[in-house]
Amino acid sequence: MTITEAPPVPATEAGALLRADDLTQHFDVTVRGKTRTVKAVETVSLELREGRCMGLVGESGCGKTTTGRMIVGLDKPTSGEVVLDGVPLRGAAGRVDKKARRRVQMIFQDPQSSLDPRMTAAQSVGEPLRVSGVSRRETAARVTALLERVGLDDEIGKRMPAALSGGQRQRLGIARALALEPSFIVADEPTSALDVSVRAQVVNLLRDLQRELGLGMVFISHDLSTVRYLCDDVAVMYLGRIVEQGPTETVFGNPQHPYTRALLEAVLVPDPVIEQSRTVVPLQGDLPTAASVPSGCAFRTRCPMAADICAEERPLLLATGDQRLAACHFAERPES
Amino acid sequence: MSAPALDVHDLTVTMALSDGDYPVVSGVDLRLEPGERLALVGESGSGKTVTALALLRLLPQMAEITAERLDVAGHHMLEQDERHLNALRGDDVAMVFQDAMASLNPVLRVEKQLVAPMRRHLGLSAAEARARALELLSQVGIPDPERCLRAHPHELSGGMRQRVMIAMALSCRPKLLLADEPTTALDVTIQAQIIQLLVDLSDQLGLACLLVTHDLGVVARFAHRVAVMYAGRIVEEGPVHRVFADPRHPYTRALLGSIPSTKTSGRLPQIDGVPPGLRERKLGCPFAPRCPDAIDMCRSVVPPLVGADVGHAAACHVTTPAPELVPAVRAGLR
Repeated sequence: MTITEAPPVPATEAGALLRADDLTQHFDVTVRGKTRTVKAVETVSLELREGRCMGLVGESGCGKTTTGRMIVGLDKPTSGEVVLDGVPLRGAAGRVDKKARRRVQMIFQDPQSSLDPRMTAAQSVGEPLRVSGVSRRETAARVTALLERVGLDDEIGKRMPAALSGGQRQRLGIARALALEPSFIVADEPTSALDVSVRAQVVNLLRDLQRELGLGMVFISHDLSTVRYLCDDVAVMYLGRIVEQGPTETVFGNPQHPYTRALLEAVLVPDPVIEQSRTVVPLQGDLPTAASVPSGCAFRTRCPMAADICAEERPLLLATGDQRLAACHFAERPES
Repeated sequence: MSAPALDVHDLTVTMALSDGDYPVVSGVDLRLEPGERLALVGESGSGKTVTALALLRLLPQMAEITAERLDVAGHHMLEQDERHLNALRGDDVAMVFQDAMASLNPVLRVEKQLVAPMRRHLGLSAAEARARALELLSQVGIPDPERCLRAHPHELSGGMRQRVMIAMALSCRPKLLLADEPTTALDVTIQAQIIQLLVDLSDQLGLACLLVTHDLGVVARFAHRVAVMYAGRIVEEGPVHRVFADPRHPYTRALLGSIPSTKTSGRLPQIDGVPPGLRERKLGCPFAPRCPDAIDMCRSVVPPLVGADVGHAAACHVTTPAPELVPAVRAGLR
């Protein structure tokens, strides 16, 4: 009997489709004359429909941001490709197709460093339009509309980023990403740099925009509560690979991978009745680095249920029979 | 009965900026018994870190600290000179900072940094201090203490560095531990480990802890009591169970409501606007411009903290009016 890795769950609805096929990103790092390969992302496959939201979660260094950057075409994958409605994002020469690039945009984590400090807010939002050949007058009108759409006063457009609050800057980052009317957005930890009382505003804004404009969104985050609230589907990454993936409620409601379980267990909920009565057994040890990934299952060094097989054989990302994929030797499998 | 680990009354910190003096912390009262854990919650700019630093008198010259009482581990901090303060800092009261990498010396091995305070404060010999360092490192859950002592900070992971910081803070057996966002820079699984470690250590050693954080999940796990700060003032204070189950101040309510849970459906309840900056703090309640329940009086009179005598206090004209202001509030609500 041969087992092959299962393809992503096929989507049946209509609408544009973004597919990531076996995305892999290796970096060569030279330290004191020795070159090592850091395997940041290994064979990550995702499928995203317009109007759907997919959460990408994991600890720092698990490759979620690198995956996001490959999806928008900022980084060129070592192998694998991103396909938009059947057409590869990168042509034969490896360059990103200009039209395709406009359809996939990114919202960055830190609005402070992703905005040009010497451009006014309006210039920043208008820049993508000007670059793509929209006239000055038309740009001005569209910038006003965009600012309004993200809840910013037109007067804000005259200010420099330094004169704006974190929440306002993140709204600008969102307006800029929307300027070219993309079908897909990759939002990389868009709320983690914001204050608690401002976070809900930005989460609501993203949710409204995603629904009203029918955007397909990849929401990269380590905040599992927000992912559970916002995302239809979720992919959990550990050391460069997806370890579990499927509809959010299926994955978070009944996790099959011990890492997903540990992540959910580690979330501290704002309720002292729950928190002070439960015993959390925190995941032991630290995340190994992407430069020294353990053999077999990468999670086995921290896994409470690791057995001999886990060191010998890497578990494949296989269907569990409920629209979910899990890469664990001990995950439930459908009766065959 | 032993003295409280912390007893602060009417603490005010004023910053002298180029264009004038601005209050960063106004009228803060805090009290901590030995073994008690208090969380100081607030957003950036709310004055929570400045409050913690003021307790150690670690603020720059431009900050003026005044208080009716500022007693830390039984010492009147405002009356100490710099030499006495240095003897107290790290000894009776210790602090763990947010960014362990920035707080450790990058060019010294862990051993040097961990041993130095014990030799100075406790007068231990090099061998004694080293033995205690090994003991401390295993106490904070470092698997190979010998190897850790030989390491430079950059060779340790973020979680390990924070454990070293905690070991260092505990090295001189403090009575009070101040921790300023000790897990903010860490991943969730590591955060859970560190918070658990602090809870266990405080239980074992009878250590009073003041944790500064913005994460209400961390508060729920860690604290016995919680104080919520907004724009330099404590707006609510009480036992963590009561504050979370029955928040009195509209800000606390809104903050707790804005965190998505499995029960959230539809739009997330949000707080509009942003916290006022240092120069934008006007008369009255600082939360009034964002408050859904604000009445006219909120914009002119600062609400006092009411209910401290029953253990759960809030500063709000509408939900917890001061007795002498009740008639005025009734008139305003009509």
